[in-house]
Amino acid sequence: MSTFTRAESDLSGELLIWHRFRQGDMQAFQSLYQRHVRSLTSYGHRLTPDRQLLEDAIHDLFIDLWRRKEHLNDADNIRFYLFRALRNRLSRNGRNNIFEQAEDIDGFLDYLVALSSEQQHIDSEGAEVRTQRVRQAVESLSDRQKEVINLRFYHGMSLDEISELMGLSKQGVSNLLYKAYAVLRTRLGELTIISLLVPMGEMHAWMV
Amino acid sequence: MNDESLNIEDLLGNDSFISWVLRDEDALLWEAILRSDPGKKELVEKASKIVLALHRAEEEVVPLMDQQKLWARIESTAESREELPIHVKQERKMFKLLLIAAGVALIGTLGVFQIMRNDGKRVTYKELLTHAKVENQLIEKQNQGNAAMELRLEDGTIITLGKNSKLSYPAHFQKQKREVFLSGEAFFNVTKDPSRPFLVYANETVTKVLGTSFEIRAFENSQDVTVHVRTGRVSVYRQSRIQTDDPETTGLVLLPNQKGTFNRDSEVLVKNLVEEPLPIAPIAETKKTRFDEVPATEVFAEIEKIYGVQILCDHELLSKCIISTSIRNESLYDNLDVICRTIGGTYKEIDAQIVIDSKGCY
Repeated sequence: MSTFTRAESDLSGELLIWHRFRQGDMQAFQSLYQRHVRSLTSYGHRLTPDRQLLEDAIHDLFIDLWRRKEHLNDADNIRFYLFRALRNRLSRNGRNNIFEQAEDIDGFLDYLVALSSEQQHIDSEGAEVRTQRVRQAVESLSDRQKEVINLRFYHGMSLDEISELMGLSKQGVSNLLYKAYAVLRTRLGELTIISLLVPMGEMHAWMV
Repeated sequence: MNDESLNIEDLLGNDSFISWVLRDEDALLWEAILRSDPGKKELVEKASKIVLALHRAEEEVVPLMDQQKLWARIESTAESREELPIHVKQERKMFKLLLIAAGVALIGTLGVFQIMRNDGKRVTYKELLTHAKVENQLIEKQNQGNAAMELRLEDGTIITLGKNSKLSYPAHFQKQKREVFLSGEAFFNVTKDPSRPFLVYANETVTKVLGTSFEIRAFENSQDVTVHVRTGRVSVYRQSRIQTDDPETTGLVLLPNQKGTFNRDSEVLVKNLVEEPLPIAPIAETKKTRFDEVPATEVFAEIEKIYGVQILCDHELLSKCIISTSIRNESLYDNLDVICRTIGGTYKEIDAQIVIDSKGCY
């Protein structure tokens, strides 16, 4: 059922690294970076499409961490800590509109237009093509919907964590997810497993 | 929404379910649930396939990033910051300011030019200093380490000094100008002060700052002096031995993505594009980066805006080339490669401009 496995000792290893990092151990700092840079890149990409800006933000984030290492507390959830720091950093920058409350209606209209033509190519898609299509469908979501999908399904974050990170109520997070599902469902039509409404029989054709 | 979909969405909203699918946590719980209620099996399978489909899709979009290179950058900054644990926060904000020094005359620097009246063709850092010292007490910083060194001047300007490079500057700047002397390479982030232009003397060149950030490479034993502009405007000119009215009028004004090179033998100053021109502002801001069925000229116009680089082409010919493309947030040349392949053309850089060569489209 699992797509990736985690070493049992992972969590305690992480705390040890954090501890050593706070004492100024450069090697520990590096392993902290190596453990989290991919996650941060993935999440950060949902916060800004600008690669350079993201790279700078991650750079600044780690420098800030290093500079303040003596003053940092014990962190029981280091990844969450880093995600929040990255989000704050990119929101201060103010160059992207993800932090605006309004949902992006343009994206929604775009996909409606694209929809009819796309439904014609639904036959015999390979797994790769299917992933590709899901990816495109996710791209059509609003920025905040993309962010919530990324946190939930890529990083496997709990609703509580997402709500704290995005500064929304738990209900707000659920609403955002439901909106995203609705868009994905319409967008993908009967094409993939995401189409939640497709009856069982038809489902199998797409699942295997 | 029927009951079935509601159930799936409930599962997707269940933290333990997500942990199980993605990380194989709580497996005992879910296996028990399935055993006690086999009817749920298909629903659970569907929901988990959705989780995995979205997970895979998100995995694909993670942008490529050179993690090693980024780490090297972090490490070097972390090490250099250790020597200077001063209020980094405020500094960062300060150098965002624009320096508008255009039009401020070059009064007061004339004295420095007089020392160029010696016989040698090349001007050394030492010579520059001997003269400058007459009126000012200079502080010299030398970087012999491997990492870049960050210096902060009294006006808030931040200078990142490269390896084997040195910089001299007065403890206190004069009233009408800020002068520093460089040997080697350095990146400058200059604080705004319209009443006092910021001047960098390096070998035979003077770089006067009209904007914010730029890099100078001027090693004593190297053939060239180069100035790269990151943001804003910078003017570069030769230090002339014979005092003309205003040496700046024979110099170059450099804009972002442009580079000035002074050849010390031929004493010629030329302007080019930097090796890898990058968007002046992040593309997200400009928004219009996807083009469907538009004349190639329209795409070029947008590229001009994004990179601040002039593109010359035959408008009449290329307006017949209808293309669909998107401009990506990367090097100018990568974008030009794609478009030129589409229209069957080539491009070259001439005098800091791009010239497109194409036979047009039919």
